[in-house]
Amino acid sequence: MTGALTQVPAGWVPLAAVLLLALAALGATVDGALAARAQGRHWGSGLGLPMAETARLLRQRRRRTVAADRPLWLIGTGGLLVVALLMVVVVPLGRWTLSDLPVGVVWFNAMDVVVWALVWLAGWGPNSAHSLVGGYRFLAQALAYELPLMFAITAPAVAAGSLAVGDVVAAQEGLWFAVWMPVAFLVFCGAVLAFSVRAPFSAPAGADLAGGVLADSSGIDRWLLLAGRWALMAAGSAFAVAVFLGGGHGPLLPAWLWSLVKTGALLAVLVWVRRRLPTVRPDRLLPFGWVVVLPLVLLQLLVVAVVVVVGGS
Amino acid sequence: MGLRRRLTAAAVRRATVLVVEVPGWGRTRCAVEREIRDRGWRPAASPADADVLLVCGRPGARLAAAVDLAWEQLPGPRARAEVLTPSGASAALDRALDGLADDDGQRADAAARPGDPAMGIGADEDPDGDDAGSGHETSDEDSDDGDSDDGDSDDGDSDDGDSDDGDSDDGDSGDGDSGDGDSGDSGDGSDDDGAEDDESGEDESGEDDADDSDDSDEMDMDMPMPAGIPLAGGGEARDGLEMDLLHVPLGPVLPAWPPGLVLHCTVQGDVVQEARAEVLPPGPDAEPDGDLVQGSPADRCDRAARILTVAGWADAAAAAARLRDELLDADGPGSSRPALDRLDRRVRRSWTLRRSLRGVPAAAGNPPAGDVHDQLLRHLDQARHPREGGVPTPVATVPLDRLPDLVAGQELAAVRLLVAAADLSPATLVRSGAGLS
Amino acid sequence: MYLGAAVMLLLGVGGAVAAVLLHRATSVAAAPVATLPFLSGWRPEEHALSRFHARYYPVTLLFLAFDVEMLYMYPWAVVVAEVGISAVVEMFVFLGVLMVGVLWAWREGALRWV
Repeated sequence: MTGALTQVPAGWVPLAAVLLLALAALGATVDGALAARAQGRHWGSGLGLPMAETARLLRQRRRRTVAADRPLWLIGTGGLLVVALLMVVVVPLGRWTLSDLPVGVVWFNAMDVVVWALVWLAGWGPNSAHSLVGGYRFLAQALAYELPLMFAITAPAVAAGSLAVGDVVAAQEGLWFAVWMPVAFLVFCGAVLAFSVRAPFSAPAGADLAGGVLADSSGIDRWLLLAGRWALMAAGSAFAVAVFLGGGHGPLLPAWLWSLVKTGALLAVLVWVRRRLPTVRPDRLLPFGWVVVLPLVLLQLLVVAVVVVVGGS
Repeated sequence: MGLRRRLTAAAVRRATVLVVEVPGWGRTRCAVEREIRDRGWRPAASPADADVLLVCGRPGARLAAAVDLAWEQLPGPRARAEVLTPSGASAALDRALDGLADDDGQRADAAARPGDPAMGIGADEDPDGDDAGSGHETSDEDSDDGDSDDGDSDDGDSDDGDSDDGDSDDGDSGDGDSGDGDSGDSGDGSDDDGAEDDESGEDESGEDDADDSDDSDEMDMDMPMPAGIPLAGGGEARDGLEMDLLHVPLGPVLPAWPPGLVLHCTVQGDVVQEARAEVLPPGPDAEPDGDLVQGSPADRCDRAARILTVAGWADAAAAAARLRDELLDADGPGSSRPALDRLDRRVRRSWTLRRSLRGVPAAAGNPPAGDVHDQLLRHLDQARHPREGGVPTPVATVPLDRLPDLVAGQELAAVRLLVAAADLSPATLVRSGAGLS
Repeated sequence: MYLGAAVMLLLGVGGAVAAVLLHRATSVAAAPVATLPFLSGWRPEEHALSRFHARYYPVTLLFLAFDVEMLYMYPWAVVVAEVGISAVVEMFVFLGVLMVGVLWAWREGALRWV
């Protein structure tokens, strides 16, 4: 469509899925290593954590709570991973993309809004007070982060004059958008942590709610929820790399490798951030999101728009 | 078959442990937590998350009933162990590990579990009466009549019905509320679902229990009771809407929660409307192993770790717990000072932590003053600068019956923080038994 | 164009179903455990699914105003470079009006819900 990217046939979809899962596993591995170090063990002892946890949950039975809303529970549980996979459909790997939608940015936005429904459903399904509160907490949190997220990803689109991710990547030849729209980039990174329910935005799955939306899930259900969260974080990082960190642009290495390296690095940074910060309660986050972050992002957008108009004329 | 054995070996490498502390076994719990950490295991957040249920101490009848129900909620593979002394922690975890790794045993256990959920007892029921007088006295609410039920743990259906009849009727007739149409609608749908689920459960097992709940459904014709549990009843919310009230008991089987404490909360949305506090004592002839020396640096670190855990800061909580264990070993801050200072700086600097903790009233001092953030900093401060001569700075405790007033009107997250930080000393709780300090 | 997305959707759903089926083979028992929801070791007195008091609903209305605004935002983003400064002025006057609404709601305490 846009010419900047090569659209690969749908047969490559499984490869994209595998890459996303591998990145998700990388995130979980980094997290395990950091956790081990925080507990006074050698960081290397935490590397096996994702595999051990997967084996544990594969062996563990599922639970069926009394009068649970099972269809909705299943949708919420399995949906997170599916949404993460759908997000990366528009994210290019170097020069290749699965589908170079002319509205790729909107597509990503739409997928991230689906997470609202899914996390809430995962909280609603088990008919459990803790997870129900967790689900509603996510909605409150979503009200705080969603608008800043939307305006943050509008900024690169304005700068590129296109909603196609390929054009946004192409427009960053020479100068990454993260450099001259840092506020939008940082806000987007925060939003990635928020829609993957990671600290400081982990209240919906908080320790104070016995795990919140996770409180009554076990076995493969729990695995799908956890894997979905890691995959969302990986997909968010991949999208951030495409629209803020220059996608495949970079010296020496091939473009596809640059995409992967940058995504892995950003993901590792986000994991580190999530371990450094305590959870912020949604009710404390909401006024901050609306009164401080939202105006900042709007100002960022104004700056970008003015630069584009002045530079273009 | 080799594949299954390999899966088992990988699966038990990082077991998760749900730790329940009986009042009076604080030192044992610390030893258990340390052992879990050193093995690279993980404390569980809920029974669904847990492989091992580990009880520190000898619970009394009601506490034991709560532990038993939590045990039935572990998905399995599962293992259960009791630890009575700090030195027994390692052996208990080894035993639990052997249990988890025994694949045939776990399969037999899974196959033997009933198709109907274990119903346990209500939070207000007293199974055997040997905790008699154990503190319904602290009520500041007209408590529902659950106390008087004879509380046989298997037939919960009848007494549930009458204690809540009125409420639930209200709830039914007022379904078309304005504020929350969405959730109201799907609520209806799901309740139907629930009834179907329940029936399918009965088909599978066809045991007496299921028949019982069927009967009670027919008796209360006007009130649907999926699975023998009534629907939530309405109550006036603060802005004039009618919203449902839920009874959510917090504790005693709850991580990062004071031992034995039960806070019977009535919750609307996620705001606690009313609460009643009591403490479930250990068994009558049990000999508690002992708690940390109240107010000692190790105790301060333990309290800080609990607050940090509830605040959702796992790494800082782990640092505080490690310091606690070092201090227990060393009997003096000495070599732990640099780490203590680091933790203190880290906590002090955290802007997000301050944002979450500020303004949550502290249940400490007399009269209670300050907020949870102050309290956390005070604990760290006292841990860094213990008094000369090794006499610990006393902790100004708050009587248990002040707790309901403090938590009323607070959001659940704030309630958890408040209680995690509350200086209701475990020793006081044990001595009084009834929870009146 | 959307074929990739459709295939990915199928793959994702198929993968989740496959994971559940795989789990039937690997777990210690294929059937789920029937259990009460976790309530600190007690039996629930009523079902948790209920009319939940989402006290932040005033914020949802505020959110809706901005969300509808996003409908204009995306097309605007594409044409702003061509249309020039007038597009910037118009959009940000609009956003400014909305932001004034937010500040008013904030002052009224609509963002404070505990």
